Amino acid sequence: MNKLSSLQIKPSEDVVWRNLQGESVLLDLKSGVYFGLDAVGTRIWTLLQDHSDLQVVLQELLREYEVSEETCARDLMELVSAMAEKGLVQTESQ
Amino acid sequence: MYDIIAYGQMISDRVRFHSYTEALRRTVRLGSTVLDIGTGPGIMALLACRFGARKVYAIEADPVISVAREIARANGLASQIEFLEGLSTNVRLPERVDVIVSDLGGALPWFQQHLRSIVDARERFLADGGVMIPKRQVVWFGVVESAETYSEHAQAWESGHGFDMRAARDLATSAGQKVRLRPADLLATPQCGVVLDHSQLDQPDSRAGATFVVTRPGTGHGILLWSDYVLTDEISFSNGPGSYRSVYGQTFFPWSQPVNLEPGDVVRVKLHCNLVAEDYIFRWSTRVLGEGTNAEVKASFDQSSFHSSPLSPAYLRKGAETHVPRCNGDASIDQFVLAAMDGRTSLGEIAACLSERFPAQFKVRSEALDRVAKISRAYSE
Repeated sequence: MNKLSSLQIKPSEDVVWRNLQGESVLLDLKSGVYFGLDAVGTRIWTLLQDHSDLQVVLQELLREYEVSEETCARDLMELVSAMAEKGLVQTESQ
Repeated sequence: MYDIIAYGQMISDRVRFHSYTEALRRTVRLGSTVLDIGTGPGIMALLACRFGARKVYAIEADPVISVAREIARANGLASQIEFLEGLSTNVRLPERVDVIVSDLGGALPWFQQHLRSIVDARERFLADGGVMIPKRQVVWFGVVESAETYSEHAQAWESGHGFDMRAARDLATSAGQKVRLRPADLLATPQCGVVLDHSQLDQPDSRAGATFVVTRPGTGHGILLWSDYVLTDEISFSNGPGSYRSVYGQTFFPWSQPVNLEPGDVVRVKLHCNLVAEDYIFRWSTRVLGEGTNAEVKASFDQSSFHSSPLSPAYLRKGAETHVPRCNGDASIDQFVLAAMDGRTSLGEIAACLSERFPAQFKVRSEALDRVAKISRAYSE
């Protein structure tokens, strides 16, 4: 949780994405590599378009899904870390 | 790739042809070496010989190269022109050349591997002091009113014959299209969006942009792009509104919605062009501000050609980095054929084995032979 509240996230300008029947596909225009997101990943990606504060994203997910805060925070952190590693988002510690 | 009719149209484009002819006449010297990238039926290579070239390397990936060879022979130039089949990026030349001529783009310079080929050819093949034709391409932007053009993107799906067909409209307004518009369609003075200097270009991606002040009231439907092809410092031609009817035409990028524009309104446009795999993905963002210091935002659009194709999640998922692929039945057929291509077995023999191994898929021998031939064309030497 401490890690989450200190992170600011910004989707990369070089990523385009399409929502297709609840799932989405991201394309990194720099590398030409596609990434697939399931329904939950798509919801997180959508929230990241409007909120750079991961804590806000977490609270929204907790409102929408029946999941413990601990599990949700861990899964969110895992996805964001994976996205950052692929260059899909930029992270910044506050 | 183009068909022979399209190649004929290019040669028949008198302004284009005359401009390239003059550029070659003034650039090629007696004994010059010339590289013609994307030679098509070989006309630039022939002209280079006429103007004194000692040797011309003519590269073409399309099968039209066989016609070019025949034409060179018919004109007694078979020994002067060396035809090389394939993409220029995969070709090696025995020497650097004095002149590189190309006409690979279409309405826009961002077309398939065009710019990548230019960069690669200049770095690997151009001699010190050598000349690139064209020298540069200047891309112009305009804000246009064209209800007729826009209707092809939007109106067909808005009427919908009583059905909600907006999903198709979203795709259609994410795609550019070739058009030929007039000066009267412009709502503001055209602006230079970007200059692509072929002697400086170092990568195929581009960012371009322009800011307009609207000069006449009207309905803005989108952005128009066209090019000045600067072949040499003295010779250029344009396919812009009001110029001649070029074989290439212009490119229209629609807005998500039409916007009522008044004189003094400010329109800011940014265009990003990224080469992904074999072709470009375009992103264009538009901000329309009303007149005055506290200008209201009248419209704001972020669009991309990535949204223009009807794709299924399954199709895109198969290209994702995280996808773990498993071969389908079709792959077994191709694997069988590839394994049989051992340098000793003929296509007919492979086809016979294939129809025996996969009788349900190949009920007649000709079907098996078609499949084998297709794979042979792609992968055999």
